[in-house]
Amino acid sequence: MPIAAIESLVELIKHSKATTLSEFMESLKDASQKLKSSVRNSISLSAGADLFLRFVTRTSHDVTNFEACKEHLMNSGKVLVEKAVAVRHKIAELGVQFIKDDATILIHSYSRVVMLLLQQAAAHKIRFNVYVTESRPTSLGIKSAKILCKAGIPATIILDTAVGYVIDKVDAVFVGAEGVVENGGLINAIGTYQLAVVAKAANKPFYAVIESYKFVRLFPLNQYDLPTHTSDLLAFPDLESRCYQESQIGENSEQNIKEEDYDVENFVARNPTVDYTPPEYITLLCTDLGVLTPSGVSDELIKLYL
Amino acid sequence: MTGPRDLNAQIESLVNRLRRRQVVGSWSVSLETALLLRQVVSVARWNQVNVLINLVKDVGGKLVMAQPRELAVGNIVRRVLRLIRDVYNSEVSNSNTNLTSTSEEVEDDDKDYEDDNVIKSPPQKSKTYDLQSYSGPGSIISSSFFSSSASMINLLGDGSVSGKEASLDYDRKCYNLKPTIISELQELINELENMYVNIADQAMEHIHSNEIIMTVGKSRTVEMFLKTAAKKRKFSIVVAETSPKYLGHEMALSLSQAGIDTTVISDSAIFAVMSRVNKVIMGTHAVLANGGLISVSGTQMVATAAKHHSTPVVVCTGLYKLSPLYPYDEDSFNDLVAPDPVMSFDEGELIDKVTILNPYYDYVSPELVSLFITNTGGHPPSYLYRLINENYDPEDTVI
Amino acid sequence: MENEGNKKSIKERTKAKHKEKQSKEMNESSNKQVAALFSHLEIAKGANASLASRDIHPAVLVIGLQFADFKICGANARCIATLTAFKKVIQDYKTPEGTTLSRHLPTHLSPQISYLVNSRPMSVGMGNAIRHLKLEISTMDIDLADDDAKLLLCEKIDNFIRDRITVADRVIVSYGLQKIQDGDVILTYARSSVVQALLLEAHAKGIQFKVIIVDSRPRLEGKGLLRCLVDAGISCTYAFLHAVGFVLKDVSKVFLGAHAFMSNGALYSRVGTAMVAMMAKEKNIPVIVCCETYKFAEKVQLDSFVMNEQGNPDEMVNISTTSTPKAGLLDGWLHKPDLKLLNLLHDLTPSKYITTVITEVGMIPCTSVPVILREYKQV
Repeated sequence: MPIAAIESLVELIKHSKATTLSEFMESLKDASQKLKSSVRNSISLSAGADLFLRFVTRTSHDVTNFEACKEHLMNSGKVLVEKAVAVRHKIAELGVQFIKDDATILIHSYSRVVMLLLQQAAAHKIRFNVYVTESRPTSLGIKSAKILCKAGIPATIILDTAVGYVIDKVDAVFVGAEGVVENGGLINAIGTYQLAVVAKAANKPFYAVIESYKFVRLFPLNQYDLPTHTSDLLAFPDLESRCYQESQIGENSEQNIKEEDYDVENFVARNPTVDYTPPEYITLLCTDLGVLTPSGVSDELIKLYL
Repeated sequence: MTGPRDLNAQIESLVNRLRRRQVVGSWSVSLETALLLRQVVSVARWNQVNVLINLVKDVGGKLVMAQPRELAVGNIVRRVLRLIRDVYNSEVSNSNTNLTSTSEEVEDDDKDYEDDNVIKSPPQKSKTYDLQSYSGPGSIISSSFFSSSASMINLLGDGSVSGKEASLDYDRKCYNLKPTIISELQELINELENMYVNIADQAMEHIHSNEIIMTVGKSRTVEMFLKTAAKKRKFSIVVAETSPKYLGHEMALSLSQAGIDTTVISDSAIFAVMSRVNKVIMGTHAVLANGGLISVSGTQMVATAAKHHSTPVVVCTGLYKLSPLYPYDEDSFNDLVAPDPVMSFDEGELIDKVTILNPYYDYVSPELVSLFITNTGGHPPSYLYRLINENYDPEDTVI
Repeated sequence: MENEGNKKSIKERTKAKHKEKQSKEMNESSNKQVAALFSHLEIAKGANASLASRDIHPAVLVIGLQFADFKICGANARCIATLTAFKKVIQDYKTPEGTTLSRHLPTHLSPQISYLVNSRPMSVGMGNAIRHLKLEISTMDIDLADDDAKLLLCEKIDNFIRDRITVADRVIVSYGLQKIQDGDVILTYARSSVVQALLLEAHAKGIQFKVIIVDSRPRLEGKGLLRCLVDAGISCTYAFLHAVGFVLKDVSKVFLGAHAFMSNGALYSRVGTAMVAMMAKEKNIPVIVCCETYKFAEKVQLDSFVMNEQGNPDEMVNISTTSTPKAGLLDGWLHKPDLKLLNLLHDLTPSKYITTVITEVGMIPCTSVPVILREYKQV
């Protein structure tokens, strides 16, 4: 997602008709705003967009010639997209050392980096088993399990609700992330926080595997401080007014109430899709900048934005 | 001036002594390694910094292989490498033009070393130091160009903004850096020599009177720390004896001779006594990058018992024990030693039928440690990554 | 005749007092080097047969000496030995003129009991047993002839030993077998007679399991257990307490014995048990304690300090693991004024580290200990 954002911004530069630097910056900012508002979960997208904008700002300070600047930015953008894949390989190499022979790993949902890491470990001839959470409502866990089995790694899908049951058999937990926030916490698919709490209670290590361009300048205080949290999430149904209205209609009202109240199909829309995992539950973060402790993330972010 | 032949002999001698464990204790090992590396820098033939770096890596690699459990060796080698790069960087950023004039001096020096046994450093092409791979965090000597200070920016292109190549290629002829490097190395050696004093000076801030302090095993750092505090404060010590090495006995004898009220307890009484202990102060064999400790067996018990009683655990260690390695496995740095002290051959046939375990080290996880007291001051475990970034370079993690 | 007897006893008593004074002085000088925290717990002076007044029965003298030298060690063994010795005392007892058995016998037993306490402080189980005995004596029918009464008492003692110790152990073992499965790796600490019986029985039933024995200085009781299990053919591993973190990685269950169980659910057992239980709990490994109900105490205890036992500190000086002593660095510690040695014998494990307690009435959580006590009192 963040790479796609940067790619689109690079395209914008190519077709930009701006003649001054400030106009140029404005158009870029507008574009990134549009991108952010179009997607429901804009965290990873904002990470990539903000990073690119920051790079543009810095480049523009150092390069006085506008045309040369544009040229440079386009080249850099291209290089970045190429390197994105290489970055994942670098992370996978680092993370492989955390998987011991005969280990049982637990992963959550689907993450390209985690998949690559596990495939790399298998290529290193390490034998291990994987539990994958189903991770409703997206059910991406099933996709992960299929990919792993094709790669020759024994994988079993477990219910999201069975994490506590399984945790004592597990040696380590690996998750990817949509974004890493300032204090080293993670934003990832819903269910990650639960997984982290259970892992902590069972004294199992919890590793996050993530590319450095997903570091975000956010500092959520709790789950409800996230930008993805809206007031209609997890809201209770307003039963009173409906009942009142229905009672006006007549005797058929009873049947009508029964069908409408249940509203089963729409409950998914009222549930969150991402959650926030505080840094005290995370053992280590494997990034392309090296293996970091959660407190090291803040250092990296400060260096970037200072 | 000792010639390179003697240098080879010195290297071999240290390697052998390490292998045979004749050099005992991380401090002595570090000091010897630092002295040897200073010899290497001053005696060996080099005029380009990357040649020197490879030389140091070579020697360092030999030393690390000789005694892989002694992590302090690798740490000192990494410090020296970082030191060399820092000196070079500051030289480059300060005076870009001055360096070209030194090329004439270099030719004269070359004639001095006609010896056949010159250490043949492997021929190196000038390495254009690729910014993309130098994704390490910023050095203390701040470079003027932004590309090395922000690692994530490195993803976005090769950083050379203007036409001027301000890249970190180490192929400039800068033999004149030798005295600077040697003086920096001397500072490192002085730091090592004054290690105990620097840590002990902080003792008064951490110990108050009538405290009961628990310690484990024998650590010279902690001994000096406690003895310094005892000069002005009155407190008591409980020492866990750590069978079967009984290092606690030596420690207790030494402390009581200094006039400190000492009690020796067996390992089994640690939990029982912990409820009355105010703090736990201990030393360690090595500190890992995540803040975890590798120390003498029995420490994990003490630290866990302290956590259950909410007693702070303070670790006194020099910076030279801080290693950038991560514990992928709790036992990756552990050793099983001879089981004789646990059950000796006098027991007869019993020995054949039983597995006897005697691990030498213990891994203590970072959540159990409250504070590290080092020669640069007190730090929480979460700050260690910063100390690692300031003292080591990421490409040296594997020597 | 009685006067002469009295004179003799006076002489003996003064002699005894003099000797006591001497040993007290010696103790005082070494007590100065007792850790201040534990100064309320006196180190047992040890049995001294010459100090005993001639009222002490020879059987009691013998076990007193055996207790002081740790030749009989372990709560169950000591309890059975004490009760057996008291049986002999009762059998040899003759009610003096002018008093009844049920009134005089307890006073006759008192000096024997205090002699035993002097040789080594009594265990909680022993205390409960003696209290039970005294209760039986006091509720004895006054009209019974002496010989019949004595016979009845001996029978009651035998019943106690059988019901509360021997059969209880067998029931505990049968419950414990339900918790040992094939492929288990069981860790145990020091030496508990019940755990030993359980492991031997499980092996006899053909269950495949491995045992790790953790031992500690200075008593090294685990070695006895090791020998016993190895002779039965069980595959064992042996390590000292410092290795417990290293060794717990593969362990599936921890079985521990008990000296006593407090009313607040805390386990009072051999020193080091608390450490093992805590480390196991950290790794989410279940901790199972096997304890007979006669060891349950009415008391509550919060830490290992208020009630404990100190052993002879000189035991810590010897650093050899075999029977030939080898003095270590601490030899001559008495001459160093600031150096103290502490040799604790017991410690207290908080209830949160214990998963379950197996007793003869079933498997109970450790918070149900006072419930059991209440039930037994009503019976």
